[in-house]
Amino acid sequence: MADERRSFREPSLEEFISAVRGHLGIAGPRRQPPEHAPLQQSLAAQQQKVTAIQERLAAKRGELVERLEAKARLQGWQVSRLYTETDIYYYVAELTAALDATAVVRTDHPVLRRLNLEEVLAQEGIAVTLLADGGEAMRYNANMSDIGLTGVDYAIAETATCVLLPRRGVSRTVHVLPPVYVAVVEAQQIVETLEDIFALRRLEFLENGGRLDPYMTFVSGPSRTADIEQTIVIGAHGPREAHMLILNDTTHG
Amino acid sequence: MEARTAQFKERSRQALSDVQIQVALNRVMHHFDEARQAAIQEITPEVWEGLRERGRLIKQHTIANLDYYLELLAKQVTANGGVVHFASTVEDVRNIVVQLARERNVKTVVKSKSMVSEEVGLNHALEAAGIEPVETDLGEYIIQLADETPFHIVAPAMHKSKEQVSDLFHDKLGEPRRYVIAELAQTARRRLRPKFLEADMGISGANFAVAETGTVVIVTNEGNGQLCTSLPPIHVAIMGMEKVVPALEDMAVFLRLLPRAATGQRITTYTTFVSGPRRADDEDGPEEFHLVIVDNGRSRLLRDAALREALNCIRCGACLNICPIYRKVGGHAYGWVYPGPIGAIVSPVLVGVPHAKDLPFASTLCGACREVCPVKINIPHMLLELRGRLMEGDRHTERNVSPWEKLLAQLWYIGVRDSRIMTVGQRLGALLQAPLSRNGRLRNVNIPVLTNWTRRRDFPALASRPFRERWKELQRARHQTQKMGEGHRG
Repeated sequence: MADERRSFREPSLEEFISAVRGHLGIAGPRRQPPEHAPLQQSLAAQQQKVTAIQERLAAKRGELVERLEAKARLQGWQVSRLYTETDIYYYVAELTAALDATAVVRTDHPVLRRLNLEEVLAQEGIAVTLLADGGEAMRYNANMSDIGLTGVDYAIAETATCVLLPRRGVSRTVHVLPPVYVAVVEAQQIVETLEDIFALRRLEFLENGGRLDPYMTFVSGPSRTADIEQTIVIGAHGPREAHMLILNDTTHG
Repeated sequence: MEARTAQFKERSRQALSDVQIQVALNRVMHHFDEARQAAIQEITPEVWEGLRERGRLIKQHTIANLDYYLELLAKQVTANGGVVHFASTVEDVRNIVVQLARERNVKTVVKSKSMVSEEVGLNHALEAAGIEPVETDLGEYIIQLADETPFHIVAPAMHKSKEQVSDLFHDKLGEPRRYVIAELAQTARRRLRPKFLEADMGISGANFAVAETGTVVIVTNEGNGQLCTSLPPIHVAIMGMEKVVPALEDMAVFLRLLPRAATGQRITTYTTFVSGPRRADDEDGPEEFHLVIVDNGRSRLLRDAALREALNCIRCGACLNICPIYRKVGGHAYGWVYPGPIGAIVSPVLVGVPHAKDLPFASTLCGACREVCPVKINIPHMLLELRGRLMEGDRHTERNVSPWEKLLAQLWYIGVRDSRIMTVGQRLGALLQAPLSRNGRLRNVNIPVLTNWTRRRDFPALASRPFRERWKELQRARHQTQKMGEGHRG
């Protein structure tokens, strides 16, 4: 075993890159980075870009909600428009009743934190658990649950995507282990296009001194597969149902 | 994966007479293209063409500056807390992954799709080291159980009927036979869920790797990509070195191109962006993130100005879906990981052109592949280039022409330059062909060597009198008629 390791040596970065240069016919390290516009934007320029994006989004709020709803249906989401946060209780209660479910896991997104889901739904016999601080046991908890409930960090109208950024209070498993997923989107979280989301993320990257969150998920509907006879089956390793609740709550400003 | 590219002709013959393969191909192939076209219609062909051009330019720029972007990617992943490994050869990849697995006492690995891992036969290397690799993408799971190679780069098990899958699950897993596709998918979910929860390592591929932010992008529908990169304590992503793209913003273009070209989707259910291991106060996620950047023959494409464009490929499979050859013989005939038009370029270069000399000829040069390619790769151009090298030989490739073809070409060269030899040749030919010619056509010519050209074609028979002679006569007759006409007027 020790011999094996001694006889094996991975190419180093310098060796590999130097070989690539050789294949391209380049003599030595480049004196200047190649020109590529998306990389040339400074922090200030990126900030301006994002400000412009945010202004555009604010002006189009109503239209974005409509577009997201329409696209989401095409992507296989079950979409509902909610007008107050308390509607969330009713939705989850009705859904669990329809599914004959009893266990819900959730993330600590602000929109969910504000509600008192645990207490309110306990009265309906539904156990809601915030999936956090639980270590290894959390995955089994998520695995045994009937419904995963999250807020989102962004939503993209172009592709009917819910964007999740796992962090403290937001586990990577809530949206994908349980068989049913419910995402609560607040209207002000909706961006228009893929360029918008990547511009926002690049700003975050630059503002953090060149670091990005280790994980970002785009969820754009229920899981699916077509690997057998190219026949689509909804529900593969992830949820078979994906519910999007678009909250246009004017009471909270 | 062991290359069976040298047996392309034999394997094609087998595929053509395999009823199940033909049924599967006929049932499925047109769906891919219909779906792709519908997806393009939704955004309009003008917008699609604009995206293709942008995609082509980004890829071209990236490959021309590959050294810069790979270095940037590696530095950024390292800054994010990940570990970058470089692998030049098959052995490098196997050694890196197996050694890492051994050091961490890995018993079970869950894998989401990685074509590079197929190139290097990683599963066999893991098994030889006493580690259990479990494919989690449904199509890959099926072919792993069947001990077969992928039939298509996006739909690896498309050649299998639901009956065959049911029988496979019954024979290998002890499941009752189900014959209902949704139930088969459920079976896979149920069997694989405990593997996800217990695995010691997750291995994934990478559809793209963003250099600026050090982000690996994985595009999936099933959810296995999410689980492989979230649950196990170690995540290893294996990428071909050409997968790097410069900026996050570039991803907007590729995320619009890839799903539409591959499966006719606006976007896949999950798009996963991995930029490093978990942070201390994250709720979950792998503690270690390793990125393995692989060459394995790609540098041969890189240094070859005529073939470099093949590195622009984003592995969508659209060229397979439209190709008249692939549609008839399917993926196994090509004998290696990458079939179809792109495979006909990449496989020979990666496994050695002399071992795959038939692949560049597995094409009618119809150009449909170039038309559907989301990044506008000029595949027919490169196929012709490879054919030329095989015929003429060059410093990379030895000449590969059958001695009969050489002889016939030489005879033609001599004959065609001298009109007397041509005339004698024609008269001789017209005489000799008599037993073979029927109603002015040469049918069913069964002479050895010539059958390469005549087995599937009929030829018009040589005329008994060359046109030159008939023209001379016609001219004489016309001349005389004119003279007579003038005489009357005179």
